[in-house]
Amino acid sequence: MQEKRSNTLPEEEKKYEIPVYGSLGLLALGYKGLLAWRSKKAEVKTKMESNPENSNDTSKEG
Amino acid sequence: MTQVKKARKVILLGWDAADWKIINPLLDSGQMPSLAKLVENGVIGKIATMDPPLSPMLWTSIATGKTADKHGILGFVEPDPNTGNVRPSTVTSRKVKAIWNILQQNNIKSHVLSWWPSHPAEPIDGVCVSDLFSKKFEAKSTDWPLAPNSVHPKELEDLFKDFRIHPDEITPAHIIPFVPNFEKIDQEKDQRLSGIAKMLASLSSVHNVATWVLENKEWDFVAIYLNELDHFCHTFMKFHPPQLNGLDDELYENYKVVINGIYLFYDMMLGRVMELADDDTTFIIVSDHGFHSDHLRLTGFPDDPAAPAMEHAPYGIVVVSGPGIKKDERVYGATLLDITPTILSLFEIPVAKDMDGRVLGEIFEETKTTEFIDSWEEIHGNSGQHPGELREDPWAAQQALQQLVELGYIEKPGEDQEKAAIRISRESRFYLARVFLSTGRIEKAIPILEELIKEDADIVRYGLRLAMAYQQTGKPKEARRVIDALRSKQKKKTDLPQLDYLEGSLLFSEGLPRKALEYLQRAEREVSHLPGLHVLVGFVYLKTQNWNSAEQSFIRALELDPENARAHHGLAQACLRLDKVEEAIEEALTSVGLIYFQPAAHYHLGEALFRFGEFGRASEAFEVCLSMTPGNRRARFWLVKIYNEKLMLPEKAQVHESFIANNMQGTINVISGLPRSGTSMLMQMVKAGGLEIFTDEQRIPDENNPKGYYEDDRVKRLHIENKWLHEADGKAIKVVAPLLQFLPPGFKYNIVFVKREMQEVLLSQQKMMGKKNDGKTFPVVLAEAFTKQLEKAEIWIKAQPNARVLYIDYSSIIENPISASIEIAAFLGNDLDAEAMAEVVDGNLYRNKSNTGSI
Repeated sequence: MQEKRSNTLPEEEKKYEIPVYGSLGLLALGYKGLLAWRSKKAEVKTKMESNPENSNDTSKEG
Repeated sequence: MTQVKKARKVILLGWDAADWKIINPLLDSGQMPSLAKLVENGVIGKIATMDPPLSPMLWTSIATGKTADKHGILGFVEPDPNTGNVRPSTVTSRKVKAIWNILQQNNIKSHVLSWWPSHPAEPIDGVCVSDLFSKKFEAKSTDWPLAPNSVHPKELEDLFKDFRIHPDEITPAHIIPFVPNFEKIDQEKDQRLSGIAKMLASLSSVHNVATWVLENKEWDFVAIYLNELDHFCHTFMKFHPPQLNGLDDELYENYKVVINGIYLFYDMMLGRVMELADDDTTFIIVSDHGFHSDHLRLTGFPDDPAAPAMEHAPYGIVVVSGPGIKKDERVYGATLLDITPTILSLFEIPVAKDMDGRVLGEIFEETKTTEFIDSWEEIHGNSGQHPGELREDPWAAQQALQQLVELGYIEKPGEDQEKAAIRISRESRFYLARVFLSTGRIEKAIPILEELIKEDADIVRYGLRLAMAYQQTGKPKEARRVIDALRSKQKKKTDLPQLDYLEGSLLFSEGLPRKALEYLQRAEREVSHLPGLHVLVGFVYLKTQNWNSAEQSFIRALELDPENARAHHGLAQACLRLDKVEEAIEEALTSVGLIYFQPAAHYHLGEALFRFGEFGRASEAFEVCLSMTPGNRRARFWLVKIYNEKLMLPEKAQVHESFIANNMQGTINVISGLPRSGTSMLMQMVKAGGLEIFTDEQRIPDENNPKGYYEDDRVKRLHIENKWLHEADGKAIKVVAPLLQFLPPGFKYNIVFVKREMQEVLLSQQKMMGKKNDGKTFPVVLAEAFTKQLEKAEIWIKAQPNARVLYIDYSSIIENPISASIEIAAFLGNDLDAEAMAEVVDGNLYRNKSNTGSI
């Protein structure tokens, strides 16, 4: 039987910033891509809520 | 339960509607790298779909190895036995075990994701999410409940619920790869972008669960079904290059890359699944049908609830790659029914005899011995099937139903649900009849179709199939009655070509090819886009030995449908008779490559290879033909000839010689030639030599043939009735050249073919008909026609391995009767008295000697 794998992103995927608008690449990654994307969206949302001045700055969001 | 060694891991990926025509260019340009890896390291092929090509029915056949009459899923929807309403087909209607149920009984850990149909989720010893899991969308993404019973085990519901993606979550970043100009699209008027969002959301939801299962669960077998490719194709194939005539330029520009885009996304998902699998995993990718992507794309649909299925192409894809599987090879003749037996074989589990498919044994590097049991249905123990009918959430079912309505797969149920249920029930029975028709069980289809006609005589498709069924079971009168009734009820002009097509087919099967051609050509003038119609016309031309026209008809069919196996086979036959032997080989090979189980195509391949001098390969082709139809005596004749005369393997020939000796109906001596070429004289000669003559003596001697005609009237109707022919065993019978082709294959024939100067033949014929001829004018048209008849007869003789022929000139008989008689006697055997034969030759009867001839 196959051993369970760890629920972490593969090393190469950690190198890239998760775009807040998502991407097909993230969808293709499966549930990990989805979780990472949703986490990124939540992070940005929190950031924007705490600092409304930056709400239009999406330059780093992929 | 049976303890079986788990040989390997298997991932079965169902890609609804995947088609090599789209995939191949993407593979060639390196845009599908993950699939390319499997293709390079595995076996690929086309997989034949089944009729009717309705996905839930087909995917259940894939998962059970059984035809729909056995597995019970008969379409997209079914009547709800509890409410009388209509509901999407459910897994509780499946009457037999699926592959995962059998695997569970053999301790193989399985997970099943989104198979169609699989709702409510089956209680297997693994994860099962049903086809409703990803299909049920609320208007808002907040508080978005799961479709009840769509996840098993229930403890995974909360986790999987969050793995779903709502269409609202899909952003322009996801859409741009499919529709680069999306910003220009007025989404108020054009809803296609929201359609893409829904499909991507649904697709990704299943993929999310799949990746989680592969990473977090123990598994030996995982089945993942993705149906969005089919939905993308139904919506966007019309925009795929090349641009269809009449298609708006702007729409074309907006959506022309959608189809390639979805294939690339599938490849990306495949890549992730491959990353998560172990090296010892065998991948099987299969589609239930292809999808027309070229000039066969439909621009309108007939009035048929399952009309969108007409966009489906008859061949899907199959890819098998993994340990023990051949590399970079092709598999031929695979069908959807073969997938389950092949997976069982991979796990070294016996295949059930009540399965309709076969193990694709040729894909394995080493020969595997398949073990069989009678049926897995008889094996008790927990298989993970539902214990009985489950009550279903009608709302969730309604959502899925709505999607099917939107996609155009099913009719929108009317307000009167009861009437809708009756209609759906009729369609299900119609599909069942089609299953029987397509699997050769025509007698079972007939009562169903008769009942349907009684219930609603206005539905033309019921009548068409019933007429076809009658025709195929030798009931032409009944078929004609149905056709006449349909013609009298015919409401739409579009039905007429169908009726002509059917009438032509019926007449052809009745042995009236010329009359058939009238109807078929009329149908061709009305509808030129039906490859099957051109194929039938081609076969009519083959029957009438009009090889050039046959060739053209098959080429027309192949222009419409390059993968039409029957058209390739027909073209091979036409080429063979036209002495285009290399083309014949190529066409026959293509035909059997598309559909392997075609004994006649293997036969003609063998004949073409023989003509080409490839005797070893020819023997292989004939042996394949015999493996499919062991009673084919003509194939055995060829093999005897090849083994004895070409390959010098008499011991191999002996096997077939024994069969022929035990199975041939006899040997008939045939005297042939054009009418008035001297055939009656030949009959007199062999009679005088001691051979018994087969004649009814109805035609009495006259001034044209003062010594008699020696004919039998039944010969004229040889093309309709030949059961009497065994009475001619061992005797001599006169069969004029144009009728030779109707001699059945169950006899050996010794043919003495008389040749005579064409001018003499024509003079004699004209004289017999009371026409005067001064011997100077020559009826050129008639001469050409008779020359063609001679050519056709010679071509036919050449193709008959059970026929020996002696060509002899009329003039040489007259010039030297004794020499000719010795030659004929030696050819026919039977110790004929050559002297007696020579004595009956009367040179005085040589009354129509041509001016150029000599005595």
